[in-house]
Amino acid sequence: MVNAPFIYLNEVCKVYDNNMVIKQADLMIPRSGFAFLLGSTGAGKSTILKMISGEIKPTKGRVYIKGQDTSRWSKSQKAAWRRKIGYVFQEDRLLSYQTVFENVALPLEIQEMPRKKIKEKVRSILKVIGLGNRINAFPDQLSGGERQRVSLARALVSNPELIIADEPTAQLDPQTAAEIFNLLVSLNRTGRITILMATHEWDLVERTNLPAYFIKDGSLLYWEGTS
Amino acid sequence: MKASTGLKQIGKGISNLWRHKGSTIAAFITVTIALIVLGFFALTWLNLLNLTSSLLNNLEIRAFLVKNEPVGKIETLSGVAKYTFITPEIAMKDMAESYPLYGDYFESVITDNPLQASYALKVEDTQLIPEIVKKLEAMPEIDEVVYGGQATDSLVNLQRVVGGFGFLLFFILVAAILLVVANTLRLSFAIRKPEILLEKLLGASPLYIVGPFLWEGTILGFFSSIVAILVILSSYNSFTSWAAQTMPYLPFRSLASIRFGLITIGIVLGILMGFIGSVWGVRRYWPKE
Ligand SMILES: Nc1ncnc2c1ncn2[C@@H]1O[C@H](COP(=O)(O)OP(=O)(O)O)[C@@H](O)[C@H]1O
Ligand SMILES: [Mg+2]
Repeated sequence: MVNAPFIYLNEVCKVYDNNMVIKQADLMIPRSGFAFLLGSTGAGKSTILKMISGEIKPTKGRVYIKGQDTSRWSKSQKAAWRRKIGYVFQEDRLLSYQTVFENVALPLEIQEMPRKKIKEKVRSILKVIGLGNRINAFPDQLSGGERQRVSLARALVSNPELIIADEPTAQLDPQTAAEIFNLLVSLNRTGRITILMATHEWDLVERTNLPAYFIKDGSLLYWEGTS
Repeated sequence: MKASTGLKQIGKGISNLWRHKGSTIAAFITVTIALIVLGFFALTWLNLLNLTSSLLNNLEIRAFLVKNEPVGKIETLSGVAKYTFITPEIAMKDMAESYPLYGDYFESVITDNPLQASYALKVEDTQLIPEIVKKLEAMPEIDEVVYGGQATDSLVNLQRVVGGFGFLLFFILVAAILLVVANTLRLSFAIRKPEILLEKLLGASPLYIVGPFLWEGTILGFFSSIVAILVILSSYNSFTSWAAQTMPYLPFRSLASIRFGLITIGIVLGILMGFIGSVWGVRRYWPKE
């Protein structure tokens, strides 16, 4: 498929022990696209995102990445796909016994980048994100906003093709939340990075007028946005 | 995998050991104690074997003769490995040597030698002693047969039991200790479950995730074995010098005779146990998909 969508969920269903969270969902995101995943708490946003990254498998239906059926992927193909995703986890998943530098460096270590290059990239991303002076701090020495930014830095540092951000602004004060959101939007507009962002904030979606998938009762509704 | 990856993983393993000092020390102490227990068991076993076999090797059958002349059929008896014909004169000389203070007295005073000629026999297999004794006792040329009797029989049995069961017990002990090591490492890896999961989510290869853990176990096992060997060697050294004074008649293995074996086997076992233990230890935390 030459013109296959970047991400395509086809009639996906997810059941957690008798609890059908996603009934039947279709979702399509083109390369360099931006989409919100909007839904109240427990609606299944994280579930959808995890199926895209391959952390969990759909009970029914297929997940296609660049036209490839991911259920047929080998372990190393799955791992290769994950290395192309910058994931901002809902629970930030920072390692408490590692410094900010080490936490952010992890995706590059996994890609076996030379040490010197890792140092350069981590320092520059931390500077961009406003954490240049917290490089040797440990996560529990940081504020909630700073932690969220470390998590974002870790997602961005490896030049991902796709950023999955699971409620990246939920724990933040409005000003920091706006900064982080604007950063994501500019990465999409100028960096052409595909972005999928989960949120439960209606008004954010309304205000920005960007495309959104709305999860209600296990189904997805698409809203195109106007901007 | 790049060539530098191995080195990087060793580095990561070492820095993890350092980072999680508390559990490293706990695991180190456990593994070291386990290896010391194993070492002491092995040494006790070796010495028991040494003791019984040297006692058995010194065992001989003494057959005292009616007349003071050699008997051909004793010398050719089947199962006899070595025979010595002892004339009354030789017997007297031996006796004189055993009692150096009275030696001259014996030789000068006693002119009519009252001692009997005899055969000292060593057997090919200590298990055959009772059978040979029976045959000897049936010969008219023989006056009396002297041997260890009941004591010999028990010693023969002891050697069999110690040899066979000791080996089995050693492997059971190795397996038990391996379980302890694996469990200790598993506990010290437990706090890093989120790290393993995260690395997997970020697309790390299995080798990338598991490598450092295996190095940690191996390095830990190596250093534990070094310390355990030092402890065992120095305590065995004190033991042998103490034993040489208090029970010089017991043939314990010398320090020099066990040193090389103990060091090489100890290090190999330490490294192997650390490695296998960490494989088991990390397996439990392998996240499912
Ligand atoms: N691993 C799981 N096992 C069982 N139930 C789960 C699991 N993960 C999520 N759920 C349930 O699925 C529903 C949707 O969860 P989630 O996708 O995290 O929602 P959201 O991210 O929109 O808040 C919730 O009811 C949650 O309790
Ligand atoms: Mg969620």
